[in-house]
Amino acid sequence: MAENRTGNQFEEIGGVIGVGYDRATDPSFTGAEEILSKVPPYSLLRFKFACKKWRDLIKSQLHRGTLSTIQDQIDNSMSSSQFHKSRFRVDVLKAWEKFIDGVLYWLGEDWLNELKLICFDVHDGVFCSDLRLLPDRSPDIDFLDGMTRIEPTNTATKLMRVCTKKAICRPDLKSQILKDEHAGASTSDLSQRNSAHTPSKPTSLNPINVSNSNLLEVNSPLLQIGQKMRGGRGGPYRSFHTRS
Amino acid sequence: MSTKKITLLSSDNELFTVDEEAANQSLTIKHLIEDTEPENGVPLPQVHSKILAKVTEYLIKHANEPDNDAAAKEELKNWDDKFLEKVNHETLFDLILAANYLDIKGLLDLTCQTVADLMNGMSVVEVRKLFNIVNDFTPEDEAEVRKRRKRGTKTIGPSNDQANQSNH
Repeated sequence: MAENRTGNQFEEIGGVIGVGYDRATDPSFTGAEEILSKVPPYSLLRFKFACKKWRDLIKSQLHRGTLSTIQDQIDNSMSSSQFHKSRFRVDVLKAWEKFIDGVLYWLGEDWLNELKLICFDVHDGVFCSDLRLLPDRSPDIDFLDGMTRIEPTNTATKLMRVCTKKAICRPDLKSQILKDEHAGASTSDLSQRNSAHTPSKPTSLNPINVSNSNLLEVNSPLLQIGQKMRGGRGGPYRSFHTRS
Repeated sequence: MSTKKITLLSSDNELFTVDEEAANQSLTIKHLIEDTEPENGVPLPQVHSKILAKVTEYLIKHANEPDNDAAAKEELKNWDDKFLEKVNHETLFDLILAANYLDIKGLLDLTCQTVADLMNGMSVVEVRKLFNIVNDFTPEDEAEVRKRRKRGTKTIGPSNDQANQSNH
């Protein structure tokens, strides 16, 4: 019956805890997984280069934990009312790009599809309509604004062009918005409609709920994690480019 | 009301006596008592007295953990901090192994969190040293990692050289 107990692994290895027990000879140092589960993701990513065993361990940890951590970061990063102030919106999108850039930089391209799921509903009516890698492997993101009509003269579009250099105008959404406006529908329903009009996107994704606003602060968790994941590298952000 | 006393026997035959309630925080000890009902103490041949002393200290302190008393919880947290304050790295790792072997969740969480905090500002090289990790990446693996990282940092737009040229 003792086979299922955690200490059993140690018994197999032998030795006495407290008398020169050598972790280097322990092929499955029992505490490593537990310790790594308590290290913040942005530090954890760095340690995947410690050894092959840790790389595998961290990969599995990240798959279990990072998605929820990212979701937590998002949940605590912005308020709905502030988000729709234009300046704030730009910062949100910038932070998003930086964040995604950081995640891809550390986790690799394999994460692209998982990030697409996370980023799909960026915030209350603004959707990440596409996330892909450019030929040089840098991420490229398109945001779709369901709260305002996306037209070349629209301020929101201009603002988003500052961030992404391109805002996708989806004819189906635009016509739907116009139709609803004629019908006197409130704009608050637009995000729901937007979801309904994106059948190719996963429907099981929970919408991101937001609670407090601190994205504009320098210490915003969203910005911080992005910066840390980039290893503090400076220079102009790569998304400020003109796409062909 | 008298509480039953449990005697723990370390690998070097040192005896430690704790209340049953304290001892039962360790699921391994609890099961050993239930299964074997030892008369001369619960044998723990994998744990040296040096570490078992620390473990029992923790068990005694955490025997009656407060449920709703915020002040008592705070006091216990401060005690936990002090408990590991002067512990060296070797002992800390031994405590992790002991907590894992004895299945004491609270102690395992506490010690692992301490090491995780310790790792937070460390480089990969420092972490390898801390854990006695042997770098088993081949030069080819490392080259691939470096290549990937380099590729990942490449930015679009004029490079520094191009920017300098255009300034002239």
